[in-house]
Amino acid sequence: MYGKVHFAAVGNRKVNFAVLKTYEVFLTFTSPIAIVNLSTGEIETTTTPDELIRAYLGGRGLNMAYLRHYLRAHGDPRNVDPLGPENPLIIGAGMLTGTISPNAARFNVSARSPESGILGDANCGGFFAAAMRKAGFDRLVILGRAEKPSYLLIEDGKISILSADGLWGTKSPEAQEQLKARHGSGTVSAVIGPSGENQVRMAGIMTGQKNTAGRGGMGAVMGSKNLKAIVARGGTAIEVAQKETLRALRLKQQESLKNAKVVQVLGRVGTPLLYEVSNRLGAIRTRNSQDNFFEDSLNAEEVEKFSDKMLACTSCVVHCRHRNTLGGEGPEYSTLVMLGSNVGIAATDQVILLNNLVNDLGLDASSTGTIVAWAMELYQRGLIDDSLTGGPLNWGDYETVRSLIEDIAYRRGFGNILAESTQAARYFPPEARDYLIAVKNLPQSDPHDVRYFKGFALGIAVASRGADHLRNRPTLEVFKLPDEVRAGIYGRVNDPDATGYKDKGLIVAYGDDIYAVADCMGMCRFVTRGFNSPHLLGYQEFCDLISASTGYDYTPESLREVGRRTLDTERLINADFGLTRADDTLPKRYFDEPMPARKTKGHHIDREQFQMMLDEYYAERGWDADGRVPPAKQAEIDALAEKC
Amino acid sequence: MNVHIRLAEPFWRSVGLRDLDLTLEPASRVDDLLVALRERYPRLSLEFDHTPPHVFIGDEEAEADSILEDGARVHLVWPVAGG
Repeated sequence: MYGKVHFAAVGNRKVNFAVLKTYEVFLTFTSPIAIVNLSTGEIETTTTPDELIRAYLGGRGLNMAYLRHYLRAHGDPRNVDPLGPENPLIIGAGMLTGTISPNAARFNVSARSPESGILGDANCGGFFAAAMRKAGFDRLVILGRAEKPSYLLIEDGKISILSADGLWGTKSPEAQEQLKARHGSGTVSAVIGPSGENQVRMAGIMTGQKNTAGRGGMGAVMGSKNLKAIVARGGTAIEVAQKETLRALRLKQQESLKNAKVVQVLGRVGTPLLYEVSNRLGAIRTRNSQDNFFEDSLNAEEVEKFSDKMLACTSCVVHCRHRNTLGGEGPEYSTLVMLGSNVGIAATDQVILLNNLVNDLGLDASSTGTIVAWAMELYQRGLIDDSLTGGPLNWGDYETVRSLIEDIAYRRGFGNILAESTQAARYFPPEARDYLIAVKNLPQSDPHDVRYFKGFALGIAVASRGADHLRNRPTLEVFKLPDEVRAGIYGRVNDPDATGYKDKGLIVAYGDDIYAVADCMGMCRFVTRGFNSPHLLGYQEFCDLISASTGYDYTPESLREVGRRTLDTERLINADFGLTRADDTLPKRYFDEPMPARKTKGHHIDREQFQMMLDEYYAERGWDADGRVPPAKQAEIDALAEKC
Repeated sequence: MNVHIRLAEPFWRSVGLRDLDLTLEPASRVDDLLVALRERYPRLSLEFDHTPPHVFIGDEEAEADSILEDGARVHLVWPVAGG
């Protein structure tokens, strides 16, 4: 049966509704954008061209298209000061965010990173992005710098720039409470804490108590624009193309997801589940990766003693987030390690208190824990001393770590140096860089010491925003899946040896693409096939959701092409910043120092074999031997950029 | 011979114990241990059906035919490694 109802909307407001034929519903998903110039106060609203939506969906993909466009608008992107008014700050909801699609809560924040100096892109859950869409906009492009501290109010398709008097200086939870008091309890905000205001290069953007757009210093960019918060209020449910079909898909997929063991376990104990597994193996980053295992006091059941409830994001079926009894939410596995074993702190309550502190101050826990541990090792080795630090930096000293984190957020004393994140290296002797656990100047995000699983190592080496596991981690490596299952997932039979170097380009490229598509859709990793389970939602399920939600039709292959295009666009952005194959590398320690203990003992990354992995990865991506996007692909992306 | 077993998340939930001791025949292998656990704890057997554990003896990862020694400390771990 054919026939189409043509539907267009700005925000939630129907502006055109024409029945072309009777029986089939087709929706034109217009993805409204606001371009806000804080310097002039001008606000332009428009919709996203159809070609761009088809090419990138939304979320991370569209953010990358617009980021490249606005960075290039200044000529050479290398001249864009990450903390200058010319750096665009782009906040984009996923294509399905706010619908009833499972775990469709997420948004991306993108800019030139003040932390790494390259592509900056952070992904975040919670309730803000759904509220932003319901209030009228899928994407904000924020330009310029407000003369005075300000915030944005989005309401019923309109945006106001308001004074942040009384808000500036507040911690994240207080800022959000004040905004609820001003605009009503139904408002949802994304805010910066003191660290963002002080342009700390590892400051994130917070929504709720813990949800953080954490990576790459997007909070510092927001602070540099004198922008304290973005508030979304009001609106109505997001229109979808086929409501009953989407409802049926939701029920079917929800049932399937709830049967996945990893979803059940995450819903009970959250990501701290992973600590004991990695610790048993000897793959926990400990004391800045000098050691690889730590105390049992950070196991999931110890964290559970401080948890009174599990929380969820918009439309979530997993419920992975702890509400802790010490006044916050979390910790995640990453924070547990970065502010626990990585700085030598074993007391569970102390680690949770540090988790709550970084969240209140608006800091990225991953970068903060990595940078503090780096400083502690430099102190241990005598590369820095009290004359610079102002006092001892000893492993496991909770009070020192706590006060140092506060000093980082407020840029006081030695904290002012560490607030520069990896760029603090300029204050230290040259050999200090040998102990920095970072790639492309972004501290490693996750707790896993990647010297054992070689696919994990390749993944953080090539991740487009720097050392990060959420861009491509091939977690299925751990499962010892049968050959036929692996071939079904990755497209061909591949070497099952997770500690070897062969075929890792194939599996990392698979993760790259499907995780990018999930980010474009606004879907959570914990329902995306390949992240901790082969039984989660894959390309076909994604196609079904997109069709029912928006009317756009994809095949699994054409949807994967969206992921490839997103990766190519990111590669082109980084090429503009001068990145080459030489930047796809690893911390020196991962090459030169074998892991010291347990099952992983002796493992390190062989430099020649690593180059072989890179060759294979570039071939899988269709890039040349230097890791460059081929001219035909660049021409296609350039043509799309004309539509921005 | 006696073997000490530590059950990691989520296996221990189906037993209600993080640590337990088991008496096995001398020279028993890892698969003998898993059979004994399945017989004693049917709910744990269902967990093993769904996700076979990674088995560590001390710091070494063991295979099904690895021989256990008296006093061995065995850690049964769920195979997962995300971030």
